[in-house]
Amino acid sequence: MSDETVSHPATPPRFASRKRKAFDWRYTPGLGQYTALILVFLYAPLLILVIYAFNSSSMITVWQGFSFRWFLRIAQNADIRDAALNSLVIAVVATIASTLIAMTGALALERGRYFLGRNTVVMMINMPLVVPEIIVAISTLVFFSAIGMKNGLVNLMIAHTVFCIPFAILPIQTRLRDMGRSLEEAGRDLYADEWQLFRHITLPLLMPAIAAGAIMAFVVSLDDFLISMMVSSAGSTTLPVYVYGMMRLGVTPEVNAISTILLLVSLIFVGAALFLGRRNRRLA
Amino acid sequence: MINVHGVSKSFSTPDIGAVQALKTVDLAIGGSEFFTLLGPSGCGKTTLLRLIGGFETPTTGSICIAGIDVAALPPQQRPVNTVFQSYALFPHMTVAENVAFGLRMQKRPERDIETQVATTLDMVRLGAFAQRRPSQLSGGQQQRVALARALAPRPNVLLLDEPLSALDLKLRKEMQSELKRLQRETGITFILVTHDQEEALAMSDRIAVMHEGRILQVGAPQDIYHNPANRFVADFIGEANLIPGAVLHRNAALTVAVRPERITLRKAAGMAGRLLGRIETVTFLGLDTLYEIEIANRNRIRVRLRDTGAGFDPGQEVAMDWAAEAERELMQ
Amino acid sequence: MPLKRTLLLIAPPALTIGIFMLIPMFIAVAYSFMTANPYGGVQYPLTFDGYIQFLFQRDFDDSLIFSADYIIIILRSLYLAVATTMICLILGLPVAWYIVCQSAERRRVLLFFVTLPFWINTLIRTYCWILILRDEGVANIFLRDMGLISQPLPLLYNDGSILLGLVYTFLPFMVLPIYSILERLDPRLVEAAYDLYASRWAMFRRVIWPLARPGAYVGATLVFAPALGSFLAPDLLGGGKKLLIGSLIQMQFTSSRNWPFGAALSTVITIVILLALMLQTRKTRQKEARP
Repeated sequence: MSDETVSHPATPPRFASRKRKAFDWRYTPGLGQYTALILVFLYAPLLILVIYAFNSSSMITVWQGFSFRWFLRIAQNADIRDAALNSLVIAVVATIASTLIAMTGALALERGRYFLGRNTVVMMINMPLVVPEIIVAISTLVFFSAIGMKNGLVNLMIAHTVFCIPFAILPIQTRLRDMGRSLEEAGRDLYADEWQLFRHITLPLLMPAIAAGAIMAFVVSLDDFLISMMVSSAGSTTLPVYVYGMMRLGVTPEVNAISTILLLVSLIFVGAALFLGRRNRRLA
Repeated sequence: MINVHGVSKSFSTPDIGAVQALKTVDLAIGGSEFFTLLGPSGCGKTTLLRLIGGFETPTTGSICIAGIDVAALPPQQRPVNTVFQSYALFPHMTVAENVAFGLRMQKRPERDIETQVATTLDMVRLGAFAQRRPSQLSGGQQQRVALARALAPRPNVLLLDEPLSALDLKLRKEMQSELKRLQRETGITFILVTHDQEEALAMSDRIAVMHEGRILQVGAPQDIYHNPANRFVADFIGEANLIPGAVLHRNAALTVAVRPERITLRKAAGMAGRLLGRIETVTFLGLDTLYEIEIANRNRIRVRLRDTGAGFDPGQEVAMDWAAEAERELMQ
Repeated sequence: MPLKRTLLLIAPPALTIGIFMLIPMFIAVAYSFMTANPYGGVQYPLTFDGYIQFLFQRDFDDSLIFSADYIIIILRSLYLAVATTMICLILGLPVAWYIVCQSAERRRVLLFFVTLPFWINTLIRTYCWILILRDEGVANIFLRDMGLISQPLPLLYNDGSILLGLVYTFLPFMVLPIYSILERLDPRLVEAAYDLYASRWAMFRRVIWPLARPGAYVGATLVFAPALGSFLAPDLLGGGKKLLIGSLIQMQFTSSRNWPFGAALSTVITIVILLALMLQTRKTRQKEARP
């Protein structure tokens, strides 16, 4: 039996305070340390990568001092520059397209009327989150081959737009729900027609959420590997696909450096999106 | 000014099915009137207001504002503005931009807008706050901005949805007289929704008491207070003793309503009043003293007496009396 | 908003995903019944070859020989996906409970750190483990410097390293749904349990776990589905030698040029995942029905 059971009614007074602490259900001994350990498990490997990337030694195993040389070497690699440019172009197009699509979708779902098949559409929008990437990848590949579309870059833009939609729609939908309808009703009451209402009330109030959604979409597009690998063709290699190719050839300081760059870009953008999300909530 | 004719409203909800929030209501509200819809929560008063504002469309019936049937018109085409319960001030605009919004949407000339915003802000005594954001204002100030914003376009009718419910007592009293003053100055018809009977009595020219989707009685405050049409109104407005007719040896289907302050007490010794009872509790309320008296069949009567020094004590037998015009016989 | 405008606004996302995701998935199913084109792609006639290959290999004289190779890969993938799910559940549940017990401010910080890995490239998160596990990696250097080993341990390229990579990738997916369901828990329930002399273990078994279970089912699906189809962990940490379904499918569309077989495999995992999803929905619904 546990000590709580024993101590409950007949505890001598001098033990009472110590035992009462054991009664606090919010405190479980060792759980804090355990959670810290899990966080170390999640972040230590990333930290090791970053440390390696700044190691001036070409021998990966020895620390020889801090240096940017591998980053400089990457900057001089034309293939990496091309791949980065592809990634950027695809991410920008996919972000703009998916954010616009997400905005209309969020408005329809949060402000629109109920229509037959609404639940099916909601499920469809969330599909890219549930279906394993490999299935999305080969389905997309099969589709473009079936309709005979061979432009790798355009195909990638379309594929990325599709799986970015659920990420872009989420913050916009949340914001519309939190906002409630009273502000829009007030606008309507004050003689704004539908377009003026959207232009002067809904859109400005949604802006932080739209920005957050766009950033999420951008990061997801930039990070995508499997779908890009399957759909891309010779001229449309994206950065993660190129980096994967480098990794297959072996562990090199260059791989560490380019991986660190990708890591930091994700961190910066996600940090910005989460900051916008918090401001969003404060405004509401 | 406003004619509501045969209006009803049903909502269909997924879990409960159709709910009839408003059951065939008729109502006529005149120009420059301060009119109040009064009732407990869920009585349909807010639904009626939202129907007049155009935020809901009636299931049946017609609504005419200034002679025009508006039932099919959206809110932006009705000469009606609303002060929302939560104010619904636009957080991304300054106070002046909020107040100017309706005028801008109506495409008034910019010069007119400026003067109109300034006079309206002065009217609610917020001239100094024009460039602030709503989030930088106190609750009472936000309330005034909401008022100014709704008044600026000079609508025919102003709708107020429990506008004072979020304010504390002192501020509420202040805003009551402020609202009354604004209504007199502008001559605009005000329609106020509230569940606070004191507020309704203090401010309104006329009151409609609502209950379970129906209007039970429409009349001036004194009229409603002194001549309640039925049990619900008598009980909801002010305090009332509802005495079963049988106790007073009258028709058993009747209920007799008497206000506590209209009853007089005498020592029971041998005297026969309208009712006899025994004092249970005595509560000192400052100006008044409240006596709770048990009568036959375990019924209780509350009596309020101006404190004259010659009080009564718990356990004492008393006789109660009231003037004939102080009582109302109610059938329901 | 009128119905017409609602439909007009829902059309862009519905059509984009319908045309470029739903229809392609149906085309992939159709492709699984076609014949492989040796140069990639498919051709007629319609056959069941894609599915027959799960169990048989076609010999030169067109006769079928039983071969367990692919079934073993499928079973291994299932086993690793289930193991990943269980380990994530065991590791994640205490973390979720710990976060629920914290103050609002600390909760926000902890949630941020649990969510963040989700937004970091899986390719890079997986690669980090190569740096740790390989022969000259951090782990082996550490053990050598401690004097515990003289020869590097073969930590990489086995089922263990794949499992580690999968758990590392998907752990946040388990913590978040369990957290979000425990967050709604009424503290008075826990206090009542303690008041009634429950020990910590009894409290966990009789109060917390039953309440966390619907969240655990959601988390299990969120981990199981992508783990079953995962490509990067088996490819980078398994060395591409020990195949899993994900890498097997990928191979059919690249080096092996056997699209129908790849499409058949992906059709089968889609069905498995749909079944898991249905199971999850049923389990969660049962839990909600029973107070």
